[in-house]
Amino acid sequence: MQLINDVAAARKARGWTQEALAERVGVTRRTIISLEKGHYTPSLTLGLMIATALQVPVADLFRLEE
Amino acid sequence: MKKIAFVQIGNAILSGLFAFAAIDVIRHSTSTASAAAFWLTLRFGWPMLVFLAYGLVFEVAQHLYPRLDASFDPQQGEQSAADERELQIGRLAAAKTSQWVLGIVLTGLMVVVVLTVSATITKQLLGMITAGMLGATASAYYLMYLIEWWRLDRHL
Repeated sequence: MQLINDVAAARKARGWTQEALAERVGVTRRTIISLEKGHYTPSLTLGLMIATALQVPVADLFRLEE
Repeated sequence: MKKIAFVQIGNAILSGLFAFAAIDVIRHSTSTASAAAFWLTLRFGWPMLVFLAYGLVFEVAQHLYPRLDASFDPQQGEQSAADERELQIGRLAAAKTSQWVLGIVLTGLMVVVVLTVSATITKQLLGMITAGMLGATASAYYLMYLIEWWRLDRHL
């Protein structure tokens, strides 16, 4: 099972840069880049913070796939 | 990444200077013992002055560095982290590096054993070699941690 995310799409839909999202959730831009590429799995707390910042349900941002 | 490079390269240099200073002290110090007294004379040369001066400058630099990067904490040092990802990188880097350093220490231990039983090596030379090996091991730890942190930063 692999964690897939649509953070990049949700971020672009709001017209935000990676830097802007990183600033809003209190992480580095490098972390957002890594997360969007699927290299980094965020903690539940960070996932919820990102979902809250993007105003998207967390289940719409992150999902498990085979 | 820059903060890790700053502190680890700085620490590697500090360890190297400390080892060099220790070797110099061993080389120029003496001790005598008799039934009535024991004398130990430690001579500190310019290498020790260089080590102390660098140590002071590096300590000050670490306390000033947060002005450049607020995520660097002098108390945390190489474990300084801007977010959860960097915290994870630091922990993984430390775990990986400790495995390598353990291997180096055990190898060094074997070298010391062989040198100690060797009839051709003096006590002073053995001390100098041991000090050099320990300092080199510490420097290697700092640089290996830096390399591992960089590698994990690229892949995590």
